[in-house]
Amino acid sequence: MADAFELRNFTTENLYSVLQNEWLPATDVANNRHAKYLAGYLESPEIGAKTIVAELDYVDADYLDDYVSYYSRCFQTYQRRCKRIHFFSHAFDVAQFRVAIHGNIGDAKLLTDSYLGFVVARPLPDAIIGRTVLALYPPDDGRRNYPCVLEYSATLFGLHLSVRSLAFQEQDTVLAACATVALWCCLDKTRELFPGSLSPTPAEITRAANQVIHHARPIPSRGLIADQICSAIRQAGLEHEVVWMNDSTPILSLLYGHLRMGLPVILGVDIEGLGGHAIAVAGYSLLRTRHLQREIASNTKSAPMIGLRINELYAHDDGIGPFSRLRVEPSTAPGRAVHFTGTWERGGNHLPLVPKLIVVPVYHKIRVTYLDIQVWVDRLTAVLSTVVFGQGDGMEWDVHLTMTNQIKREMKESGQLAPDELDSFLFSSQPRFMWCAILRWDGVPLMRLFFDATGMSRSLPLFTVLWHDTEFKVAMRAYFEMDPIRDLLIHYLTRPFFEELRKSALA
Amino acid sequence: MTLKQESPETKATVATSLFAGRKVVIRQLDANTARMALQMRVADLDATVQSLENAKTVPPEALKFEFSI
Repeated sequence: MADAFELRNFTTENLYSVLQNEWLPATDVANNRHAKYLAGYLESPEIGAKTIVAELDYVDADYLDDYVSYYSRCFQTYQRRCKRIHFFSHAFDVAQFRVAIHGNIGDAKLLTDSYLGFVVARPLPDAIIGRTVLALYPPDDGRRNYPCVLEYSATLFGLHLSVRSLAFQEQDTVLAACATVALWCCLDKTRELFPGSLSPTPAEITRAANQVIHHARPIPSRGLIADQICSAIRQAGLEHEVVWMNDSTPILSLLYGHLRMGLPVILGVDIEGLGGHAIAVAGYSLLRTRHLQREIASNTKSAPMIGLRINELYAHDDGIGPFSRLRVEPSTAPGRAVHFTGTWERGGNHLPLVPKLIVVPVYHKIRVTYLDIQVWVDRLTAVLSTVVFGQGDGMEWDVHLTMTNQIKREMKESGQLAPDELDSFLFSSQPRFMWCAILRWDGVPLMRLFFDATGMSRSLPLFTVLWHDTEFKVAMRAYFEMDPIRDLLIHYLTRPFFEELRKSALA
Repeated sequence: MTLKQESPETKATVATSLFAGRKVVIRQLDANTARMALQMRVADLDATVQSLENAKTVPPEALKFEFSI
């Protein structure tokens, strides 16, 4: 079966050659923006692709659904089979490949240890990049974070291969627009996070979205409105959390708050002169020191948040490619403290991507929002910065959504609790979803607040408080016991929050 | 933990804790100084909380925002 696969050394030209089809020759593939992005990604030193193996006759479930929904009903005949192109970081030839396929586990290690993922090449005149699952850049000493990934398996002629990633594909502008693809990427991960939720195909997403009537034609799909995105999320068995950006929205910390748990976020941006664009944010780069002085444009005294250390986001931008880099930059746009720049260009200049809204697909039991928690954090920060901490900008809050199993594992591995505290924490009954707010000074944790994300925002959803530093706890206890400032502390914190903090400081 | 007087004006006692070699300055103000400091920033806090409450509102036009690139 010499024609079942094609094996080549990895070069840009060879990639364009295997991506070509009867409609699109390699010379035209070379001008395809997505193909060029993928070539750059795969040949980067961080990924280092050395070998390409193309399965020449591959049935792709997502494309097949698109085919049934649209392409099969075109007058022009389009093929229904794709190519699946695999990438490896080791160099090998056909003879070695055949031994690996036929041989034992030891023989197969050449392939399994160096697997970098795959690209499905669709047999279309345009939008040739189908389902794409590629290996991640290395963490760079903890700076690069890709929490929104999962394990993908691929069986190549009977050989099991796997890679951690988040699936991507290019929009075809008939069944899928940018928002459709962003949703498709996010819902692939939420299916793993929230069992029971669905991971629909692009055609299914478009149909679900168009249950909300809009003036644009459903198919061919040129775009979606936010309301339609929400409809598709509901049809997938989840709830939509929408945040419209204003001058007080801490956008980076808000994104981080969801991403850290592995929950991808749809970021809606306005690109000057082009319009609205939706991308799926799947990761972030977290520096050791602050990248920004402010992430909100208003002059209010907000808490110093971890988002100030984020200098890049990693996003599935269907106009560019998977894990494309969005640089975080201070913005001069009215009401915005930050915007993003990436590979959207005009006349050689990077176009700013101005954030407009965020849509998070969440499990229905996650009812308390990031902004609900930010209010409590800001209340406590006002007390801390007024009477507790001296000079310096070492204070930082890290607010993120978490799950009880995840946080118990993290606390066990962190070594930050005394044995009796850890015992009490591990054996306590906890809500399935919690917001964790960690107060740090120069990177050292001082206290940790857990809020019940399944509770009610109007009442105090504080679940428990952990004090990591005795001297800080003693100082706070002294303030809580000062009668002359009790009324003011209650005004700052509200009575329930004051009482809970006081009780935990006295314990 | 070391204790010292921060300044005659604030009458603050400062606790300097060392965590993994990093310094955290924890102030222990007397009740009157703490009360004055808190009173001075009440308006700031109220503005911050109100501004965040406003940020939670999703205006109707948000749901009509179109993504079409």
